[in-house]
Amino acid sequence: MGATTRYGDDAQLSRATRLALLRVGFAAVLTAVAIAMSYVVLVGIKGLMGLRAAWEFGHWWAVAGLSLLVVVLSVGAFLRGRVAARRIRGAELLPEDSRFVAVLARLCALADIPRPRLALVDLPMRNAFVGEAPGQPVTIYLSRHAAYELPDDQLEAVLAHELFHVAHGDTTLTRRLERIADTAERRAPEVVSTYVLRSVRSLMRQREHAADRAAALLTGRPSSMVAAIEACSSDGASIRDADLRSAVALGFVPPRERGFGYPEDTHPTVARRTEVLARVATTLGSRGPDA
Amino acid sequence: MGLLDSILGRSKPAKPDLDQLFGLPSAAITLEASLGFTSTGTGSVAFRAPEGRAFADVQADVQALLDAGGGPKVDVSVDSFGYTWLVLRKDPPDLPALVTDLHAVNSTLQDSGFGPTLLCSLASFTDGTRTFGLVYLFKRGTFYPFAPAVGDARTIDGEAPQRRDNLLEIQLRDLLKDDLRIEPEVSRWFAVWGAPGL
Repeated sequence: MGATTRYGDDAQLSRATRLALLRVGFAAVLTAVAIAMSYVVLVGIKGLMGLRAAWEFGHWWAVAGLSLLVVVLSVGAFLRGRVAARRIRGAELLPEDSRFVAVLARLCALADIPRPRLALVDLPMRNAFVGEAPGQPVTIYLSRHAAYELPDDQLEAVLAHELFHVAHGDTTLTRRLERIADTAERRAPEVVSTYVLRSVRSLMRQREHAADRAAALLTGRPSSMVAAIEACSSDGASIRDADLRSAVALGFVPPRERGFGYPEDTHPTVARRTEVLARVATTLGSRGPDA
Repeated sequence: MGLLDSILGRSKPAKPDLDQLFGLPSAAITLEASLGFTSTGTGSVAFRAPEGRAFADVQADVQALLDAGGGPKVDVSVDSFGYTWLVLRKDPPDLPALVTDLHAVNSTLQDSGFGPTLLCSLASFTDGTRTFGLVYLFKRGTFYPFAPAVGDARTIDGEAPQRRDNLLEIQLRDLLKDDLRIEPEVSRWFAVWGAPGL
């Protein structure tokens, strides 16, 4: 895939992403099997025998049709994902002539991505995340702490990171992944659901690396990206707001309730993100961004 | 972009399209005939200079290329958003020659692998009182007009308010639609306040 990738390829990152993708696929199958088995227990042997009797009686087409309907409906429900309208409290949509919008508009022109809306929110930390309510355009939410405390180049890095979450379709992907994890948690045994959660989160961590990398290549400033990650990770605040927690899954940095480096984390550690960005810096130093 | 491509972050980089730049001279004729605007002889190229040695070499190449052709004076400046602007001047104003130089600068950057860093090019026009810039978006291959409003209005701090002359911009869009490809999405007409060369 070398020549077709965005701004070249990071072999190590691609390999890790493919591995995470395989794990998620396996986890999804595992969930399906676990749920199917729980149904067998639920319906019981009698139910199965009834089904078999119906089949032998000649209504096999009814049974097959019903099964097909169930499959189609559940796949449809899964693909739609749960569209929960999240109201972000205290969000203030920024006007067209705001400086933050101007920074974002230039990034969009550089990358040829349609411009999402930009809003300020109150979070007790420097952070940003992508929000997507049904029937509304995609919005990037920037915390007031980030907007007013970060220097311009770091603010740009944060916006570019979120912009690539939008461009890569991560809002939809995250919603689907979380749905798999949710289903497993409710319906499958704990061993399975733990494995599913870890697989899903490992893929989400790869999405963070992908957004970091694409953003650093676009702005040409991997050092500003590293500085922004450090600045946002160091202010020590945490979020206990249940409404926001799922939205912040696509945040620039995760809300901290404990240390880093757990298999269930949505974000990679600062050290790992720095490693990937160091490889970007090497790429930029030696050749052009599309070489 | 397919689902797999998006999961692997494999979206294609936005490649610049330089050919549309050559539509500028015919647009200039329309402008002078209809509204009395003429080229100021100033044009500029904005790009994002990445960190690292490779780009410093390219910048030297661009300078050498323009110097060798007995080319125009180039001013380099960095704006408050962190973009580098190369300003080219032609005195007396000669738009076709200016466009050729703009194209040369852009293709040098593109050939060196820095196409994705190109933001926009700008050519400015004036009718004596009002000045506007035609901004060329490389990644879209489209133009849009950017016209700062002129007036004596001052804010309470004594600064000139940043207001765009939307009437003129729309007028220009309608006038030039046969000569140039105009950006249809107005949300992409970002303001370039104080752009070098405007």
